[in-house]
Amino acid sequence: MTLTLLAEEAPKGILFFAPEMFWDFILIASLFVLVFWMIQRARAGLPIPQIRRIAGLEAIDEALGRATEMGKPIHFSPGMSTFGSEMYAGLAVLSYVAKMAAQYDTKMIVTTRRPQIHPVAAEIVKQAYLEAGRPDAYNPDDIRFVSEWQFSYTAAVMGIFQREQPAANLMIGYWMAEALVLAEAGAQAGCIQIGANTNIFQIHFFIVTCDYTLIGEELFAASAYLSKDPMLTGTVVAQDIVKMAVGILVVIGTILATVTGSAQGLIDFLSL
Amino acid sequence: MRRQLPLLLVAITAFFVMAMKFFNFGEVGAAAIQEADIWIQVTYEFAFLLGAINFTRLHYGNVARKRPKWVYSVVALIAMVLTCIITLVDGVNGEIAMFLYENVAVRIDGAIYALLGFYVCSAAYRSFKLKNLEAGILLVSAVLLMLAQAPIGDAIFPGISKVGEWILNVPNSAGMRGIRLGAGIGAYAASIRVILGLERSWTGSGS
Repeated sequence: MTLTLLAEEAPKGILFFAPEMFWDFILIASLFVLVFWMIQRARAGLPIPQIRRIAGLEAIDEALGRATEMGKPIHFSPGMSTFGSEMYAGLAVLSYVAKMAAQYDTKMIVTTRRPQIHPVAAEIVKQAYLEAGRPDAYNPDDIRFVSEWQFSYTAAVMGIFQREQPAANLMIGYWMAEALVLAEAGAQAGCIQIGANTNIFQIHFFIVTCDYTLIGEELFAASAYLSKDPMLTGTVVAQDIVKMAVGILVVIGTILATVTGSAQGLIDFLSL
Repeated sequence: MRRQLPLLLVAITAFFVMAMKFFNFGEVGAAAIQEADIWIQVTYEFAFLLGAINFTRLHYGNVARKRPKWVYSVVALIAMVLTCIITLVDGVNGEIAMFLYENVAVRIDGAIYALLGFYVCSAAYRSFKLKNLEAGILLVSAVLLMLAQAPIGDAIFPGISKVGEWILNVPNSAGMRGIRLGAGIGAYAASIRVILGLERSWTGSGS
């Protein structure tokens, strides 16, 4: 469906650069160049800036430790989206959590909303148990495709909270209207909760309900932060450089609008 | 190869979509996009079958082993099988299928959604405790906004609706846009990590 929409909005003509995509192209090309630069630095052993401490990611170990001590399971969900940047970030965290759970011999329940995510999540968890040397402890019934319907999924996960009483609930991905319902149900079940979301209309629900929240871009830094891989960390640095460039443009626009009364010139330039 | 193939497929697909977005390949490009869309639909249907198998195996196991609350699994299995049969016999838009959809599925969905109203109250009760500076700011902003939105607010404190409007339009919008900006650029960077094969944990092999 997305691709069909893409086809409809494709510019007419023969093999020319789509002018309305100029700044998007510049942004992505800059990111590619910066990422390659950072990869080269990492390969050459040159210093890469560290990622600041992210409390929500530090708390994953605490959540797993708590579940292990209590002898209760943990619940993990990579969110409601299909394959996309948020889902890949969620699956990266799943990989880390599954390895920890396998090492601690803690039961891990993974619920997915999208059927295409289920086999990927199952493979990640299975591999984690293999790497931990405990393939016998892997239970495919703990990796559950629940329902594609948003609130059927929500109801089913609420049921899991009530019946199986997990000690920790990790909701790492993209969340919509079910965010508060699930987080509140988890809080009522006594879970230590770590939430991550990029949906600005739902983040505040996680902030007030979860013990720790990854806000926006923190989700995308998770895999680099957890793996401590210099190449992945380099990509986060590249992302921050672009963010600073965009921030400078925002400041210039603000100054222009304040001093001259309009930043239309800058807006027109960026709307090329 | 088992790990490399998915990475290769993702990279090829991503560069294909980017090329289609940034360049115009005329009718050939449009046809290629539509063909790729069909492929996505087909793989999606196969994935759905895997999901249905997992769902059936899990709930059948619950019933067969008489796990706690196994009765709910019976209900889930009956609902799935009945819906499949009715939809196959009656058609997706058939009278019985539509009746079940509109009077059972949509109603239950609405009921779960309605829980939001209650959970907002319980979440607010728990979070609006003055435990630190951030919670204090949240509490003060929330009280101001609630008063600003209610007709009684202006009656008690004239002009409070303007304060509420300012909170919504200035600090709130600034914060939201900042998060959106960071998340947007972060999403680009995360996608590049996946396209370049730097992020491999989703293949089960770790980064």
